[in-house]
Amino acid sequence: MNNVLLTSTALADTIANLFRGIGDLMRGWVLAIPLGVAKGIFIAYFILLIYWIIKLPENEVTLALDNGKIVHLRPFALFSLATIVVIYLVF
Amino acid sequence: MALGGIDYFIIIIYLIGTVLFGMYIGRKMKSGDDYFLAGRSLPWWAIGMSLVVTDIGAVDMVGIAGAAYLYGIVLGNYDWLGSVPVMIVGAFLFIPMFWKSKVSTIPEWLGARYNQSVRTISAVIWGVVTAFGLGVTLYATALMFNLLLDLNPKIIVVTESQSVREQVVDATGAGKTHDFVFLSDYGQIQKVIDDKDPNLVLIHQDWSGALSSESAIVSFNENEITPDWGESMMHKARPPTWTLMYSIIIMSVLIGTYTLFGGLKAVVYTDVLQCIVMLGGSLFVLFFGIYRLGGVSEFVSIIRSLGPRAQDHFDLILSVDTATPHPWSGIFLGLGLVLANAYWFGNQNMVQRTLGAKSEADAKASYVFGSFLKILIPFAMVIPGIIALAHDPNITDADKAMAILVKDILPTGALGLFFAAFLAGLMSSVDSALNSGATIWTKDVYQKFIKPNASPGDLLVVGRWITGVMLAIAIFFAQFATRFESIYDLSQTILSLFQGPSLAIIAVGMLWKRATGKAALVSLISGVIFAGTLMWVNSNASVPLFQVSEPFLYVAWWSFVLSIVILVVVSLNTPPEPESKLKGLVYRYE
Repeated sequence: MNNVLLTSTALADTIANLFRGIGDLMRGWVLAIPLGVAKGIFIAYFILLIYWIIKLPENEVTLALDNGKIVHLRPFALFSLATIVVIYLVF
Repeated sequence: MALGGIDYFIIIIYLIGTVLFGMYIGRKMKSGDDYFLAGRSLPWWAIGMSLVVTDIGAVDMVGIAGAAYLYGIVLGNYDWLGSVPVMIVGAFLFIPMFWKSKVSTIPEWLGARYNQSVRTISAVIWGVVTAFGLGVTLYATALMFNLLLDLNPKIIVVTESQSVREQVVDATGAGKTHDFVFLSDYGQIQKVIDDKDPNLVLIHQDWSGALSSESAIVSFNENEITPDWGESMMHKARPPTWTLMYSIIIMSVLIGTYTLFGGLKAVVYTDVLQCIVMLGGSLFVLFFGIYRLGGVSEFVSIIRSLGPRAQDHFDLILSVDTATPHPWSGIFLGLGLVLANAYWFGNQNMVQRTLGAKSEADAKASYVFGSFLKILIPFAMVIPGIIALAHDPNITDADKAMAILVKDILPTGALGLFFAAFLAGLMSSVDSALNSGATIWTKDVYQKFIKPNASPGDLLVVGRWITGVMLAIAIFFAQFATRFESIYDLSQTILSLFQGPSLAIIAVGMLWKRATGKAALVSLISGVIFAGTLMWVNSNASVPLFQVSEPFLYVAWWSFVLSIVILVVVSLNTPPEPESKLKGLVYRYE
């Protein structure tokens, strides 16, 4: 049993060593990013989505319900995303 | 505060009412389509509320509040990053594609887009994961059920030493089945005994004071503390007369009854009721909790005064080398770009109700409405976990933080309301997982391999049988959930193995018509094996591969990346799919 455990640890170590070099390098890059910039990445992602929603064709964001009413989904989607931007600016 | 008569009244009325309501809604069930897709008759507002309440089940009420107790508002990322933007993308891109293809399951869509092998593998993976996830959910329920109803034996541990306290916690498994109260002031022992009425009092080192108590009293020293000692002390307190298993079975019978009879329609409309009760109950805990602490500024200053352990509790973005499982890089890449997307448009639990929408408009609007409601969820689930920390910084098992908070602060009546809210969360998660799991097994396994010409009536009968079997499997799995420190991290870890590769083949298949069936098959299998290997290496290597405590976010990200690379490379080296097969299955390719 002990031999099996030692072998599995050795195998795991071998595989881990294959990834560790590149992993540590990438971790170093990400660690160098200040938290303020990291927060900016999150907010940029939301703003990118806001831009995408604004650019969607009208027929993909305007819907006709069974009762004939037209519903515009774009303002609701933009409101949700704008609220998230505010939350990430606060916290 | 223990549950009073009015609390039990509210809880019983709520349970009976929900079961009867579900059975009434589903009384006209005639076919498999009625059972699995509500006869494609669901309106957007019902689907939107159902999506939200399904996502914030008992696992979240216990696990997220517990994790927020330990790590703070960073858990809000799971909704604000992991739901809101993703649901909006889903509303305009993925969900309409699924709805227009008229499938019943995501594996069925994969079969149409790629081939039947991809469909079958995907169906089996999701079927098994759903059953396991159900087990975790049921376990979470039982924890809360026992704690709120005061069914666990109580042990008071008296010691001035922090390390002795930690040793006792380790030796007793952090008190999953027993409630511990730690006391450092020896002069307060009698008062606490009178207040808590414990089953056992453990006193560190010799103490000669006189105690008046019917509880067993044991003196111990640090050299005695071993797992065997912990086990014997928990047994001495008395073995639990009401075990977690009883709670699991009661919940299973209640939920199973209306899900089995009413199918998706009963699930969605009971979810509407549960959404209102759960959001109302949780937001009440938020406002009442902050009020009891003396207001927002007092709440913040109490947390700040806790020092280093809570210094990041109001930060959404945590450093890459944080001691928590939630570094910003993992949150952004693993959660924001992979797990969240996989969850909201690669998970049958979520997508199934939009497939039952009465129109494409309703399917889209449901996700937009759901995203709006999801903004509120961290206020209802995460912040109460931080309030629990301000209320009692000495809770040893974070998963009990929410239960302890509500028991300590809520008045009679409100406690019953909260407990009903908790049950609402539980029921909504379990009923949805049951229904979606049964749909996959019935449509993608039974109808595909066993009886391709099954009549609508046959599918209804088989669907109900499978629902019952899945519930039994979930009850079995629930026994093993105790081995993991945090319930929420456990469920995320399981999902991370499958979600990255699944998302890769769905997203690329929907956005790139050159992706081929053979490539998708290779990509899915390789991705899952790679994710499993990363998890195995991480836990078996002498030094863990990842430098965070729970690496599920990174595993999801890297398995997603690998699956995409393999999908693209193999697709470019295999013959393209016929154009006629792809129409309506690839974005803007009608």
